[in-house]
Amino acid sequence: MYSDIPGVQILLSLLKQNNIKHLVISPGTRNTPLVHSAECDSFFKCYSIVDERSAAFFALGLSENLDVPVCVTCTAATATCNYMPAIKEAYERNIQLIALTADQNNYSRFHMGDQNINQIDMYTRYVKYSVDVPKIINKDDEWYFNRSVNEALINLNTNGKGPIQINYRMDYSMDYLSYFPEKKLPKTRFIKKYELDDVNWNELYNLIKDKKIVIFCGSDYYSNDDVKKLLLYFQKHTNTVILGDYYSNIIDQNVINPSIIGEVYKDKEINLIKPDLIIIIGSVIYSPIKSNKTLFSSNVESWQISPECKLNDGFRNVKKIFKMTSYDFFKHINDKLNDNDYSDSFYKSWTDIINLVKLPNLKFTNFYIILELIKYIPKNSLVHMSVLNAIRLSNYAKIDKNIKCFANIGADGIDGALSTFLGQASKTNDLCFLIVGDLSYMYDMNALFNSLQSNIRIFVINDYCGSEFHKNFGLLKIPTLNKHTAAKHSTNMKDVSSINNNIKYLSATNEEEFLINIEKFVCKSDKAIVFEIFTDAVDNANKLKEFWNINQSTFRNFKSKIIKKMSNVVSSNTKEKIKRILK
Amino acid sequence: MNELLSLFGNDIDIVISDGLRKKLNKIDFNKFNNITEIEDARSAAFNAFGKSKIENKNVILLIKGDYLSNIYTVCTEAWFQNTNLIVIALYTSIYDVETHYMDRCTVLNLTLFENDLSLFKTKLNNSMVQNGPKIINLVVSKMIETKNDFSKIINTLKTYISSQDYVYLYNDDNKYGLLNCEEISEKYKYGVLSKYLSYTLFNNEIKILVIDDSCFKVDSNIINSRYISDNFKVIIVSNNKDFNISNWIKNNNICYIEGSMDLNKDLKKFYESKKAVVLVIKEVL
Repeated sequence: MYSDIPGVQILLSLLKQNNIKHLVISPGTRNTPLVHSAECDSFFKCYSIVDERSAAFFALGLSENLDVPVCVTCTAATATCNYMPAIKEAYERNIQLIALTADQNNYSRFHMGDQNINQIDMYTRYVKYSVDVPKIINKDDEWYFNRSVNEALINLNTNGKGPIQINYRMDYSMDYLSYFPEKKLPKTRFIKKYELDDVNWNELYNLIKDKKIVIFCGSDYYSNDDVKKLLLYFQKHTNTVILGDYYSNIIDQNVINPSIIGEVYKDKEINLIKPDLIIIIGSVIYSPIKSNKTLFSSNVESWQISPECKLNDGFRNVKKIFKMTSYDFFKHINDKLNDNDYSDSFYKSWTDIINLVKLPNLKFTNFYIILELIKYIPKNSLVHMSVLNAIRLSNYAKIDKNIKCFANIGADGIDGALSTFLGQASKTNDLCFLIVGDLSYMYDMNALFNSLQSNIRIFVINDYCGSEFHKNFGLLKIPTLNKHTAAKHSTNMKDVSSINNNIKYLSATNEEEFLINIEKFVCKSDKAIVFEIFTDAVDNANKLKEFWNINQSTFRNFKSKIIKKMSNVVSSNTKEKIKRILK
Repeated sequence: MNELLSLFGNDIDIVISDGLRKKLNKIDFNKFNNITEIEDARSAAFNAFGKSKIENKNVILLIKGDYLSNIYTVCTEAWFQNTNLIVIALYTSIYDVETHYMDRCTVLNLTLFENDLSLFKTKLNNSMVQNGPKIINLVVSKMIETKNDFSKIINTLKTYISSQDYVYLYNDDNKYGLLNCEEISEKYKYGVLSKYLSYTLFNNEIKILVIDDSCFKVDSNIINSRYISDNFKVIIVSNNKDFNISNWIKNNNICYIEGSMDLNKDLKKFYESKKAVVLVIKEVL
């Protein structure tokens, strides 16, 4: 019989699915639910050793002898400290030891809580990975617990072997700790790791066949087109949509940049474009559509391809992680594909939705000028977008497939865009464009004290504050917004840029000036050029909101129009079915 | 150090921050083909990150260990993007190596002694396989440390200042017989201007800051702040003919004085200025 404490069930289920059966147990109260559940399950091979220091060394010996991961489990507090000598040795000698440390309630630590020390990351530097998982109270806790334990177990033998720590909360009553009502251990989500030699590609092919597939391309940069070619081949032999914001650098007419609908169709389930399977490649995904949980999370499975084996479970449904390059994955799977499997139905559904997007009259706003600028950027250029609007609005534009795109979207900070851009620009003779706002440009202006190449083009949109905050909050909600939150200032970038003698300066305050100077801006020059555009923060914010509002209602009308049209020609049953699809 | 750098080959990109090149006279940097020098460590690190990102290869950042915290943000970004930024942080004492906070945003954080490198070669090579930012803390026997000598300026300035006035000198430990004279050590090079700006708030004592341009270049954007008051009095000494901040300073409503041949006259004007003032003196160091 098993404990019905969800954390204990997840732990045991994942140990079983990872085929980790050896459990060296030291007696205690907090680990009793785990211990009794395990000893009742014939899968586990349990050992009893009282002194935790000896227990951990015993486990170390077992792991070394059998070359398999071995668990040690003990109660809370000083018991866990006794694992340290063996953990340290395991780390130094690459031995797979799993410390399952039961813990008390954090809140009462050092405040009359008995047997309560700080166990979080307590073996730091001597474990390959350490997780502290919560008492499961809601779905978020459950996902976090499951994901973290999966992540820890993946790290046990990825990029070398070594020990890990899983610290889990067991602050339950004595009655509950000794309550074992479950006859069957529920199976929890297991994230299986594959390396190149482990994959049965025929099996994988059977899993993708007939599926509606979304490939999410995260930020990456490939020095040649090989990965893009493989992706497009995959698309032509399956029912696949390739989604990539520009930082994936997989730009093609058959690749959809979903950013433009990301904030329009947020939190709505659109069955027409709902995938059965998601394949994630690259590192960071920018497009806000990723946060549409209903579209990408429920009843969908994700596979992740990551040479670093760095789990990205944002959709909360990764089931497979492939420790290999995207090139290797698609090269192998493409060999199994047949022409007959091709369908463009899913791709068409996506393009139908994207094509619904309408732009309002943009006037002279940052929205307008970024879209216009991008039309003028020559092929083979490099573009770096700084943060927020520079990233958002650039992704609404159509960018030529020969342009290389970058942004610091990992942590998505305001800092460092100019310096990063200058580093990138130093490695090419092609024109390089930075799209940046006033605050971000000033933030990193120390970079201007260095020599600048003549291929540098800096496009600064100056609205004398952080316009993002006018979009997020606005003066109506916070009348003093400009004072601190939006950091209003009166600095012109002409002055800031004057600290470098190798900069030509252009500016525009209206469309006419903009169109005159843009031609000069994108031409060759003997000096770097800063083009400063003055816009109004409130106008910028309102235009963006107008764009979202228009398109949200367009989408609503799209649904009702289709429902109206069909009402005279189909039966009520069919009508209901179509309504569900359009939900 | 030479041995460590040689592991990466002569074509490796190296970005050097904080004028470290001059402090490491044993290193033959000339044999490396791609060297960039950037004063601000944060900016230098982002620059190296950008280079690494576009070329998909290792790029080295050389940084003084004292300033490592300035690149926390860059390592965080590089960690997300699995970028091969290799930070070599230099120390002269093992006791200064305190970099645990970097563990969360690096795939390797290793400490080596200059002479022990061969012991770590295998570990280093194994770790290089994994994509992501890496830190190598290297304890070296010596770095050349030089002090600023602001004697000519301060001895002239003494004609004007009173005993109540405060003088802050960056990296010059001479007190010049002044009652309120304080050195800001090179260890605390970052944020000198920002800190000084807040010293000038809330009272009307005269407080003068004397710095070199390397110190200015790592904290320049604070000049754009709205808190510059009439108490703001900064002297910047520069040996760089391209150091040209006049327009920007003036347009921030700060009185700008370009040093002339007559230091006495310049310092008198500087001291007597009723509004925020920056005096730039070239080539007196």
